[in-house]
Amino acid sequence: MLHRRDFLKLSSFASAAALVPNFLNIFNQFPIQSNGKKLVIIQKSGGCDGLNTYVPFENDLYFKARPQLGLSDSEIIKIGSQQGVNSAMKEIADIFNEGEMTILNQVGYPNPDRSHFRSMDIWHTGSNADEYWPTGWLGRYLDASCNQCAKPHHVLEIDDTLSLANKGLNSNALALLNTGQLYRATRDEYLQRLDQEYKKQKSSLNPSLDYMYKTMSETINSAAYIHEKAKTYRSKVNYPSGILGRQLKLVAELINSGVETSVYYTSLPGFDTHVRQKMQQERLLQQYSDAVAAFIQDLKMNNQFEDVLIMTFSEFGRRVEENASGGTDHGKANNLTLIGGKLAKPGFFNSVPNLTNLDEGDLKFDIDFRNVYASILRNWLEVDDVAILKREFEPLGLI
Amino acid sequence: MKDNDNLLQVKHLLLRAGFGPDLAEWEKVKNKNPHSLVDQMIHNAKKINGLGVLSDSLPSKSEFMNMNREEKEEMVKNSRQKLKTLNAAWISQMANSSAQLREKMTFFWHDHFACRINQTMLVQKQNNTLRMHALGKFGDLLLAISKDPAMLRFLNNQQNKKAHPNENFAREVLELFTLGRGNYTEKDISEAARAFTGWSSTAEGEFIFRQRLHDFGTKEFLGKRGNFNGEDILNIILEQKQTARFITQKIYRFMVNPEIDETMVEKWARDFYESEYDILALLEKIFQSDHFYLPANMGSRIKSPIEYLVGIMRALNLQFEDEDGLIALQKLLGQTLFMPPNVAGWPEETSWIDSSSMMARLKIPQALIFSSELNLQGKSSFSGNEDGIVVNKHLANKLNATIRWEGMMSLMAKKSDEEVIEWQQDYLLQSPSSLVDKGLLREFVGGNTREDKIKMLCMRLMTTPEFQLC
Repeated sequence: MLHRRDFLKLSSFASAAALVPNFLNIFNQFPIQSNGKKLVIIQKSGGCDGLNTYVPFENDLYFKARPQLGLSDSEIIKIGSQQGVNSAMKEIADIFNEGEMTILNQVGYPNPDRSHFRSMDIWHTGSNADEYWPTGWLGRYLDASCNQCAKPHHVLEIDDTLSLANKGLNSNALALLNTGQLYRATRDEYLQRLDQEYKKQKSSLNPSLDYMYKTMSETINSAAYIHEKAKTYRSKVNYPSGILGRQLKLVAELINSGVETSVYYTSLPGFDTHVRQKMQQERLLQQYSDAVAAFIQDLKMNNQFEDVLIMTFSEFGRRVEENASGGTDHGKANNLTLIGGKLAKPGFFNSVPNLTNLDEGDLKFDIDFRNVYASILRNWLEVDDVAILKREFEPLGLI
Repeated sequence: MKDNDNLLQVKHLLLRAGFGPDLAEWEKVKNKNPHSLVDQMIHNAKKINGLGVLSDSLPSKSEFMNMNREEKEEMVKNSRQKLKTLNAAWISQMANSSAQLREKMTFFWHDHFACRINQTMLVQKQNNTLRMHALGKFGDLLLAISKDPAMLRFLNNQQNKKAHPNENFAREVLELFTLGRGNYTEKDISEAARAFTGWSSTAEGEFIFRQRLHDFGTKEFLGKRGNFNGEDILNIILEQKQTARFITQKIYRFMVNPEIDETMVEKWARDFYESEYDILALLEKIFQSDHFYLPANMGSRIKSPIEYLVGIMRALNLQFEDEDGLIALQKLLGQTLFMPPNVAGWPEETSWIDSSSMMARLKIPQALIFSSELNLQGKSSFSGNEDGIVVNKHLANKLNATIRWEGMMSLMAKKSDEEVIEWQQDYLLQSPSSLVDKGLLREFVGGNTREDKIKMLCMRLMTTPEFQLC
C-alpha cells in the first residue's frame, strides 16, 4: 500500500494520474484567477534576533538578560508604549507610523527546532515539526492554480537556485538572479532546437522524459516572457547597495512592468549572529530598512503599492539571554511583519513579547505561522488555503 | 535477442546496479549477456574498501575539557575541512571502484538512514558501517546503524533516559527506517523509546550502553509484552512482514522504477522476508528477472545529482582537481553527500528538476568539457556551525576538472564519423524515446579537428533532457 508521504516522495506525476488521491483532485476545483494582488516574501536567513529588531524597551527583564546587547534609549525609535524599532531602521519606523505595517510578536510553531535547516524547512513547507514534506507552501500554491496551466514565473524567486518553499508536486517556481542571464542561457540555439523537436513529438515520450522536456520548455518560455516584459520599466529610484536592494529593485521593475507574477521571493542572509552581533545585525537591518523604503517609494510612484503585501520572516528568533561572545544563540518564536497599503490591523497585532514565561530560555510561540499563511492565501491571494496548507488554520483577519 | 536490445539491457544494468558505464569497461561488457554481467558485478562487489580520510578518534571528555577556546575552534574548523575531503573521497570511490554495486547500495542506505552531523570522524565511521553491511542482512545493518554514534547523536538518543525518554530515535526507526507511517501507534513509539534508553556513545565516538539510564521495566510493543531491550525491539520489527515490504518498495523504486508494480513488490518482499532479509539475494533476484529488463523500466528514473555527476566522471574519465568545485556543483544541483536535508533523506525523482537545476544541468557539460564559465551561484549558507560544508559560492565558476581523452580518442580513431555518432549515442544516452537523432547531432557538432568534434558531440549528447535519465 502506498502511504501519503510515499506518494509525495514518488511525485512522478505524469504517470501517477491513476494514483492521484482525492485530496489532490481538490486542486482542480480552484483555478487561479489572479486577482492582481502581489505577495513579496523577504526571508531573513540565519535567525534574526527579533528582540533587538522590535525592542520591548519597557521590560527590565530585557535589559537584565542583555547587559551588553540591550539597546539604550538613543538606539531605539519608539513606535508604541512598550516596543520600539532598532534605530538602524528609521524608514521602517516611518512606515509603521504611516499605518502601513503590522507587527506580530511570538510567531512560531509547536515543538520548535533550533536547527537552521530543519526550522527553515518547516517554515518553507508548513509541515508540523515531526513531518518531512517534499513540497513548499508556495509550490503548492502553484499546484493549486489549476491542473497544469500554472507557469513557473507565477512564483518567482530572485536567486540562482530554487528554495523548498517554491517547489510543488506538479509545478515549480522559477528562480532567476537577473532577467538577462537566464534569458541568454535559454536562447542557446541547440536548446531552442530541442524545444522545437519536443513541441513536434511530445506525444511519443515516456513520462520522465516528458517531464524533463516540459521543464526545459517552460523555462525557455518563462525566461523569454520575463525578459520581454521587464524591458518596459526601468526603476528611477535609488536603492541601497547590497543584495536585498538589488533583489527588490528587480521585483519593483517586474511589478511596475505588469508582469503576471503573483509571488516574489527574496532573501537577506547573515543573521546568524553568535558573535559580535550588534554591528552585523544593525548593518543588515539598515540594509533591510533602506531597501524596503526604496521599494515602497518605487511602487507608490507607479500606483502599485495598494496591490502589494510584503511579509518578512526568519526561521527562528534568538535566545533571550545574550551569550558570552557579544552575540545570541538559536532560539524559538520570533516576530513577523506585514507591510502593505491594505492592512486590516496595522500596528501591533498582539502584545509585547512575554519574557517571563519562556521555553528553555526562548520565547514561546503565541501565533502559529501557518495561521498567517492561511490569512495571506485566503484573504490576499484569495485561493483555497486548506488545500494548500493541507490543514485548516484559522485566518487572523490581517488583510 | 537483437544486438541493440542486449546493449540497452547491459546499459540499464550498469546504470542501476552501478553509476553507469565507464570507458575502460564498456567495450568489454556491452555485448555480454546481462545475466552473466550480474554475476560479475556481484563478484566485484565482494570487495569492501572503507573510506580512510581520518584515522583519529574524537578527543575524550577530559582531553576536550583541557582544550582552550582556540583549540576547540581549530578542531571544528579542521573537522569541517575534513568533511569536504571525505565527500570528495567518496565521490572518487563511486567513480573508480570496481565494487560498483556495493558503492551504489552504500549510497542508497546513506539516503535511507539519512544523518547529518559535524564530527567528521563519526561521519566516516557511519559511512563505513553502511558499506560493510550494504549487501548483507538488513537486520545486521539495522542493528549496526541503531548503535552508530553519529545516528544516536543526530536523533537525540543521547538524551533518551529512563527519567525523561526522548522519542526521536524510536520514532524515526519505525517511521523511516523499517515499517513506514501508519503501521504502528504513538504508544508503540513511546514503548520502543523506553527500550532504547541508555543507548548512547562515548566522547571518543564508541557505542556504549548506559545501564543507569536504561528503563528495565515491562514494555508493550506491537502487540507483544515483555521486558524488552533495544535489540528485542529491532527483532520484533523484523518479524513484521511490513518491514520487508517497506524496504523492498524502496529498493524497487531505486533500482527498477519509481512507479511501483505491486505484484512484483509483493513477491519480492515475500522472498526477502523468507531469506531473513538477505539484501544481496533480493538484488540478485531483481537483476536476474525479466521484469527488470522491461522497456518500460529503462530510462524511467531521473538521475539524482550524485548519479549525474559520478556518471559523467565515469563516462568521460573525468577528475575534479579540487574539492570546492565538486562540492559547489553538488550544492548547485541540490544534493551534497553527508548533508541530507533531514532524516527523511532527499526528495526523489521529479523533485530534483526545476527550471534552475535543469538549466544548470544543461550548462555543466560545456563547463566541464570546454572549461567555460558556469556563472551560477548556489544558495548562500547560514554561516552557522551546523552548516558542515561551506564553500565560497563563486567557486562554482571554476570547476577545475581534468578529462583524460586519450582512451576515448584512440577508441574512436578507427571509426567513421557515422559510427562515432552511433557509438556515443549508445554510450551516453539511455532513453528509448529519444528526440536526439543523428541529423540533429550532425547539424550541431562542429570543430576544427576530429578531436574537437568528438568533444563537441559528447557535450551535445550530455546537454539533453535524455541524458538526465537512467
